[in-house]
Amino acid sequence: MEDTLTRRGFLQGLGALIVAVQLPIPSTEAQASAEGTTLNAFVAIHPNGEVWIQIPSSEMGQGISTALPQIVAEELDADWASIRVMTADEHVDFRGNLIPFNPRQMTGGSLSIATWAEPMRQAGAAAREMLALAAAQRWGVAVETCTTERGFVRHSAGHEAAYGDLASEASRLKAPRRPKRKDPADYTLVGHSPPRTDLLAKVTGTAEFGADVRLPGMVYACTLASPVLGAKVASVEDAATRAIPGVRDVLAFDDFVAVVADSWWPAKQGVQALEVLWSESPHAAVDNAFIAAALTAGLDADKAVVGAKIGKADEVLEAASDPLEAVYEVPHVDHATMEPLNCTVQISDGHCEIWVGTQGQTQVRKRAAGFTGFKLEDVTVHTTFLGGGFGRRGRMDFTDQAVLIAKRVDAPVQMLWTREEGIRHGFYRPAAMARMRASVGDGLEALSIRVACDNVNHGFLPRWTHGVKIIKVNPAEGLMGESPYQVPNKRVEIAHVPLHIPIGYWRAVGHSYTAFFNECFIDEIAHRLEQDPVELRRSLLGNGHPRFRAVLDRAVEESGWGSAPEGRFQGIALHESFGSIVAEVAEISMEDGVPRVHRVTAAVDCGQVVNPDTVRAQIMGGVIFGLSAAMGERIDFDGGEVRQANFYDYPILRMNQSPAEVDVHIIETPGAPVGGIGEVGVPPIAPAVCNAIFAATGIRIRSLPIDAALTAEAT
Amino acid sequence: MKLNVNGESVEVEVSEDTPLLWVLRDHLQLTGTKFGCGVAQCGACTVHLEGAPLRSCVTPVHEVVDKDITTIEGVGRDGLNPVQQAWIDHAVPQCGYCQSGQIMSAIALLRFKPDPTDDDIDAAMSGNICRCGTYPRIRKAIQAAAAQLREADGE
Repeated sequence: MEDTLTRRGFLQGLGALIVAVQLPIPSTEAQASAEGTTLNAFVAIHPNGEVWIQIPSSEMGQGISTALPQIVAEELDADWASIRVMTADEHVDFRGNLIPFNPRQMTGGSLSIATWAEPMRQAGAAAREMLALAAAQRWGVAVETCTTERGFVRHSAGHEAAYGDLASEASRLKAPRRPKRKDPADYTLVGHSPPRTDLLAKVTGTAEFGADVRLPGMVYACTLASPVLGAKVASVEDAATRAIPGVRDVLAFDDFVAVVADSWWPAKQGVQALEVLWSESPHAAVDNAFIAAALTAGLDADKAVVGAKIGKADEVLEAASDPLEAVYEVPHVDHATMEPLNCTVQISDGHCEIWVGTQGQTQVRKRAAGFTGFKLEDVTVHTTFLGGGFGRRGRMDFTDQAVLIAKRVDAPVQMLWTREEGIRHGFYRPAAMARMRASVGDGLEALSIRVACDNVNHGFLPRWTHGVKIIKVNPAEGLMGESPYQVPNKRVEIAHVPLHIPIGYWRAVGHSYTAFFNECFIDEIAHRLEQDPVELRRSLLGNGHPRFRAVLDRAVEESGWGSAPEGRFQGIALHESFGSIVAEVAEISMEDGVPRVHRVTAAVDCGQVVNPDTVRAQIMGGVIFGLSAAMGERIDFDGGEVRQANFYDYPILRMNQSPAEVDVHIIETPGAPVGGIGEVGVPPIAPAVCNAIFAATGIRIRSLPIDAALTAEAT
Repeated sequence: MKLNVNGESVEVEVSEDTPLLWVLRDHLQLTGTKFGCGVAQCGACTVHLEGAPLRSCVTPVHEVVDKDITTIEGVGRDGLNPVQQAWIDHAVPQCGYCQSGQIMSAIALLRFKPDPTDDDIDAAMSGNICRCGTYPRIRKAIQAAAAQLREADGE
């Protein structure tokens, strides 16, 4: 871990075994280069016995730099202590099919394991066979009589050789196309929790994040974009800035200004000293009232896209004597990654080299090639650790800026945003509203849902996809076919409301609000029916959803549902997202009118588990991330500007507000497909807490964040 | 200007109102101390001044001349600090960006409160934001490190 791994180092080691694995993805680029076929390598075994693994995915806290190497090491029979990991530089071989017809090296959608487990298995198994064969040839024995274990090949006659010792001979063998895989029953690493590969670096301050990159002669840049969305630079008065010692240059671009200095502090001082005039923006009227009015108009519009239709929900509701109706809403929220956005770029000798914590290497590289006019092979993207991603680092706005700056600076340059720039120029989780209607007789007879929201995919996916049904209905993800509840009459509609506010994928994306809408409304229906919320969910699941039922029952059982201590109140929610099913029970008390979440019990079925401790950590983190947003996060707009600026007005949940315990219980379903884990802890927590607040106070929270809703309730 | 950082005397040439954070990161290449907010709201920049936690992002460097400054790079030089070891044992870090500051706050807490209550932990650690939500593990790791330190003190 303390080693600095580089691609060159990865490929160089003389006598190293480098396993080339052909991936089942289309290759649209010539692969010829000085490094030849080794460019396909995932695994290299060095003479000193270290096993170097290049993973395609970015490590942003989700533990992928442990989980994918576990899969390799399992098939390879490697010693876990010998594993060294790096994220691969951008290359066609590391692109996956996360976006159809558009292979990209990217990390998102809770898809890393699902995408890369198979190639990793293949890489590890192929390397193991080559090492065993090399040993067998050396000893003149049949390969079938050799065994492998923890970095050694052994033979019954007493022969033993270390992988590092065999690497050179093995590297001369042909990689098998169909290496034999282990029986999962024999796994000793997959399904277990060996120590994370990034722990030591992250507790000693040696982990290199993007902002920690230091290059000889490097200069620093701080930037300012228009406070009003969509405005351009009209003029810049920079005399005061240029007078600051250390400031080298002031660069104006179409929609931002950069100050370049010898170190970052004078660059930041320089930005503060700028007087920038911005053009008139067509979005200067955007404010909270505009957003609320537009979303409400979406709820009331005559037409909407139908996402799901079962039976005759409208007719049943029309005829119902006393239908239940409620409007739910959530605000825009920001990712607020702990590490402010940054990117380091060196352009020299016809080459553009980029160091960045990114979730989207391929796009960073292609766009840099576009901006510089270089060929793709003259652009290199190195991936550092990410100080949080949550979707924000999948956008290229900040890497574009860094490349544009570097083109005009005669030195390597590190561009680093202020926190204020990050909060004000996010790609926010969009605000959304839903009108929920139910006909409730002896049970839930009909359910009608209209979601009004902008479409988060439009700024990211190619334009041709915008008209595709699955993209059009995506803002209601989690409410349509995925919802396991059996309702005889059901209709889900999506009203697309363009707001001209930059929006993007925020951890759990649409599920972050659809679970809140649906699972709180289910609670309202239970209240109307005078039924226990768990019993209603069980009856709505029927007999057809055993995995959901098992997850629900486990959360109920482990939380002690119905037997909370005096003064404590419980709420529950159940939701599937990214192929995983999660139930969460929140146990709260009300202290001076403010909810305090003491304990959260979660049950999760995510199919096959590679690393149980990572699953527990991700659910815990998802719960707290979702709770933070639910309790107090919101982005407000006024005059086309974001009103919040920093953590003093964009509050992130802190230690004293965090549940002391997030108990996570994993349910394994043998043979189930691999589900995601990075995002799936988020959706159920907001409804679980709001349902607990209702149990405690009788106050139904239908608008997030909770603090604002409770304040409004009190006045 | 002369600074004492991690037991070494170093000379830096910067304007005296430069925050200590940027002297550490950009002039001394000690990048383990992190920038998170610039306004003492998140704790990512926490270092020790004479053993007490300090938000280096709002501390002008001239205020710390001739005082002992310790950064994350300085706490584990003779083997891991028990707090760092507890962080590993409990697999606390996720993205890891805030953890230098969390560890510096925790080490300082245990120096002043060897047997911290939950309220002590809340009071000492609530200035450190973790966006990944590792708080429950941080709490457990602090309790474990505290127990280990008390044991090492030979009760």
